[in-house]
Amino acid sequence: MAKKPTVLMKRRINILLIFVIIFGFILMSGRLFFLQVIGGEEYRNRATSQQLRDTSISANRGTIYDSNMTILAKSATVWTVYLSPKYVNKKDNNKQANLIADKLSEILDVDRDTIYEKTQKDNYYEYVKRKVEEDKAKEVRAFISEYKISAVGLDEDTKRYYPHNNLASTVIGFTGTDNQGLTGIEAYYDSYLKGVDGRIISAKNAWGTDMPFKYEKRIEATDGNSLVLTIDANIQYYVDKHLETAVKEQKVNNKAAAIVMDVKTGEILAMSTKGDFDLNSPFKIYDTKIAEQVAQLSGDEKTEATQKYQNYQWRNKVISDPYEPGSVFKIITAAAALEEGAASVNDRFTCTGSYRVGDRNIHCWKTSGHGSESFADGIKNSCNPVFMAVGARLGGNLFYKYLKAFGLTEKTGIDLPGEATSITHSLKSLQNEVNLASSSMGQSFKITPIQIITAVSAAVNGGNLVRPHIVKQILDSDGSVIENIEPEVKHQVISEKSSAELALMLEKVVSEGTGKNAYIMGYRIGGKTGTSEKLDKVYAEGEKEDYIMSFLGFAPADDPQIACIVIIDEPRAGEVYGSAVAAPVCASIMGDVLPYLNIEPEYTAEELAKINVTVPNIVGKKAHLGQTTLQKYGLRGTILGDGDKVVKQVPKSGESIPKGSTVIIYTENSEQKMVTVPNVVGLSVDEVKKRLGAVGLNVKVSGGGIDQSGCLSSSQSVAPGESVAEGSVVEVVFLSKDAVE
Amino acid sequence: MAVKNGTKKMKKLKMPKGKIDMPFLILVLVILTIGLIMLFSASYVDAYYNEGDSFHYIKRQLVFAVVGIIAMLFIAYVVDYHILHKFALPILIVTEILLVAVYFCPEVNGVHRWIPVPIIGSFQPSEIAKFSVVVIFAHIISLNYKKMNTFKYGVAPFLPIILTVVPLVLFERHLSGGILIAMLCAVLMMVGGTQARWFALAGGGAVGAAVLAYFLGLLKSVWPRIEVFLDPFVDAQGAGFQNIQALYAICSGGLMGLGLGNSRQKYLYIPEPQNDFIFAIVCEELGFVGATIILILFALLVWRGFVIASKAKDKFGTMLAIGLVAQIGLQTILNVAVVTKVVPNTGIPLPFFSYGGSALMMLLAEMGVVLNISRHSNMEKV
Repeated sequence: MAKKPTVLMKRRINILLIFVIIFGFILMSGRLFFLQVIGGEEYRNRATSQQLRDTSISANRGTIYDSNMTILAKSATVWTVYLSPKYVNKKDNNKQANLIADKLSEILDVDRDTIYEKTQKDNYYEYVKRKVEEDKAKEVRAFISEYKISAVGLDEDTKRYYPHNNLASTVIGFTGTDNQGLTGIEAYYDSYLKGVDGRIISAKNAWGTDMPFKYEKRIEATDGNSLVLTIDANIQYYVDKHLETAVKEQKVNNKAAAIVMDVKTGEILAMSTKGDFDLNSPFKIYDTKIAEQVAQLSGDEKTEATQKYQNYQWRNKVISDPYEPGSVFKIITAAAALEEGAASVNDRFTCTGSYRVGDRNIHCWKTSGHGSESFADGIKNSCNPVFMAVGARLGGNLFYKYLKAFGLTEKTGIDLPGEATSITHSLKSLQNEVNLASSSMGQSFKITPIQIITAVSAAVNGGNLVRPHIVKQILDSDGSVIENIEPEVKHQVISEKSSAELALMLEKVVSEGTGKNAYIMGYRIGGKTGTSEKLDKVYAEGEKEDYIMSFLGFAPADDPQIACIVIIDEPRAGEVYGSAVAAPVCASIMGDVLPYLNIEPEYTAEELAKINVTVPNIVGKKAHLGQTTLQKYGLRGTILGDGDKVVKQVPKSGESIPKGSTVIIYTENSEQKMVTVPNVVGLSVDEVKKRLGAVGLNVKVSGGGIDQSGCLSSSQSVAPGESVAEGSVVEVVFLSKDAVE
Repeated sequence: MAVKNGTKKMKKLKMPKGKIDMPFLILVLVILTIGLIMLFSASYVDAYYNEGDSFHYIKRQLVFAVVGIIAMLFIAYVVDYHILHKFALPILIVTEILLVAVYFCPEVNGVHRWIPVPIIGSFQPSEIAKFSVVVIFAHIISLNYKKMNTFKYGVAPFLPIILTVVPLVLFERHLSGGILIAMLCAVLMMVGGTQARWFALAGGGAVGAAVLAYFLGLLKSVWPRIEVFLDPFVDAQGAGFQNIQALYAICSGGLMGLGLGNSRQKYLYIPEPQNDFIFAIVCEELGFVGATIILILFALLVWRGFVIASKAKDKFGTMLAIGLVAQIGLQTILNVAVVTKVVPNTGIPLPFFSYGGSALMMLLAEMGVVLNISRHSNMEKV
């Protein structure tokens, strides 16, 4: 037994055992209890947060429709191609990195070296290209599966498409790379359009790929609301087209703009600024001259210039740029005067060519003076002394009251971003008679085009000031209506009676006065021209003064439905009056829009005499019978050849020509007669008819009002020197030259 | 001679067999089984992503476990542990040679700690050092037990061994190995009968040496580790990473755990989850309850081992069993302490759980020795 362990040994073994068990295992177990059961909350949460990845599901951005549910802006799925540099196989001399760089650069048109650099980084996410379209994404997917590359992936994203490109671009606006609205309606209604992004919370391993066990929680995205605009794409198209033509013809330096508005509801039917941009690539500078200038710059200068011109091209001129309204404003002065009884339609005034205010003489645009005239004539003639006198009768207090009542001292509240505030005289400064006089004729203060069209709408619609608006309905993602935006009448400014009187006075401006160029046969158009010199512009030495030409028209004058303002900023083709520059554009727009809105033309007897008829078909008939048919339509027929039957007619059936025109009737054995078109530009109506009639051509007259005396032809539809068949119709446009202001 | 020996052996084999200690064997096999299951659970993700084969680690470990069990049973039933008396000194000499030789072996993870061996792969001389220290100490104590209370017999013979083996292991930058061997030495000497004051002196000397080393700047390489230990978040992505991720795993486990196989932290968050930090995965999957049961199994193993030591036929057997079992107990406690951030991260595997074929085989062979000791004490009773 001596070999056995000693008592000391056994005792010490027991001590050791107790020591190991107590200080070892029990303490460790206590530590675990502390970590796992009592505490550990923070570490547990940290573990969870590192194991779970939050991926967002983009909500689909709402669609923007015009008033006829034509899509103006729509989102579609695109892809973000990204790279996980950590998973790039760096073996074999970076063979895979090179392959990725080569292929992706080829498919996505991204610089090869940029991609290669990204493959060499030490992280999990580097995007290669965003907003990649489905067809390219498909190629990338094919590449990934062909070479089994785990380092390249695709994330879903959305992209905004604008099917009508430039149409209403400054109004609709566009979105940024994160699908946030940056300008226009896209920005103003961003909170409605964007929706609420969803989330996918899923478990990922430390390399960022999915764990094999399923843990996924989806919080679905709520798609954005859609908007139905008051804008009608067709009307917008007409406006865009005519403005664009004007910009070209008038060599406009600082853009042209127009609004078409429903005078009763304040609905904006069209709103345009030209030159504009394509919503699908808004960052490109479209003005080729400016683009060239910018291209020559570099560094910060280039960035700065680019941003400046981008902002310029995105600018919605009609709400963001206050201007001096000039004579268009006389409508407001007249409305106030009629309402307050400061002047009635038949009050007599005398214009000597200038008007004395305090210690100075202010001239009328017609320096020889208009002589004795009624208040109605004063508007027709846009006579400055008349309006200065009326302004003086009103006085500063009342003038200011109407300035405010017509909403010209505050923003209109249109649902678009970037509306500018007007800069008008205060009540105090209107006590100064010079300020009052100049204000009465629309000078020495600035308002925005949206303000003046809203004010004039109130003046002619029966007196109600409405809030202009551009969104008619808000729809949910299923297309059901969530909200109808009803017209909002702010208050009545003038009485219905004053309003009706004013409208008729303004009709005379177009039918007889300075607004002749806005005349359209069959329609009762009212309106007012405006011209203002840009006094605050800094001119280079020797530079000619620049003007803003404008015309504000509405129709029909006896029951106004729509108003249209046209602003031409800095035309440089030589014309210096709004009547010659802006009024014809307004006429072209109204000429398209009124029939489109089913506002039927009503012709006066005088107009009926000039009305066009549609040529009937007489081919195949006996020549004499054909001639009789033509006579029934108010046309003459000239028979050529000695055949019996009509084989051909010029003009053809279906063409629209003025009554009294001649149709050439060809019988079996007759030869086609060709004539050469003479130059008829710059002539009076009679002279044009005479010259074209002499060679056997028919004339179709347009523009220049009912009474075309004093109008000169400005263009002809067939170029001089061209050879056409006898009897053909040449359309000639006449513009009033004495309708200056 | 050969015939004589042969007949002697035959006689012995024919003698009624002493029974090995069944509770101890069962505990070893249960812990080993749980260890293997947990190794597979902890390692398959890492193995899949980094080695391309989910079974990479468990396949190898299983082979070593089978070989180890065979070795254990062979040693338990066939070999007589007294043979180690003869081998005590040669083993020590070989160990010291290997501890020097390891410096001439290729670096692994920046340290010279492994010696490559064909088939097995590689082994750590420090693992063998633990065994050889236990054997030589048991040998010396069994000779000197009467005079262990003197310096000459109770302290002096051990000093040359401690002062060569421990520094050599420490020079491998294997801090935990050095500490563990030093602790084993202390345990054996204490049980052997060395006077308590020498331990106090040694402890004071160690503290003094540490302070001196600190002022001489020798601890510079260790200091960042201690800093990270105090607050792992100072270097959350670097030195503190493993510790932080382990804590995340342990805390995620809660009372009942996420269930076997359901660890999330093993998905590449914890680096090398099959090695030293396997216990963190155990905690995450099996929870406080599972982890505590495993600790209890280890505690029972230690208790049973100490019972075997107490009942051993002779003092050599007692000391041998104490050394081998204490080694498991200390290593387990140190490992759990590291994983739960009670002591700084020193790199110490969990017996029967952590991946490492040669270490597992060695461990099972050592358990064979303990079983052999139990068999001999039982034999005498019969």
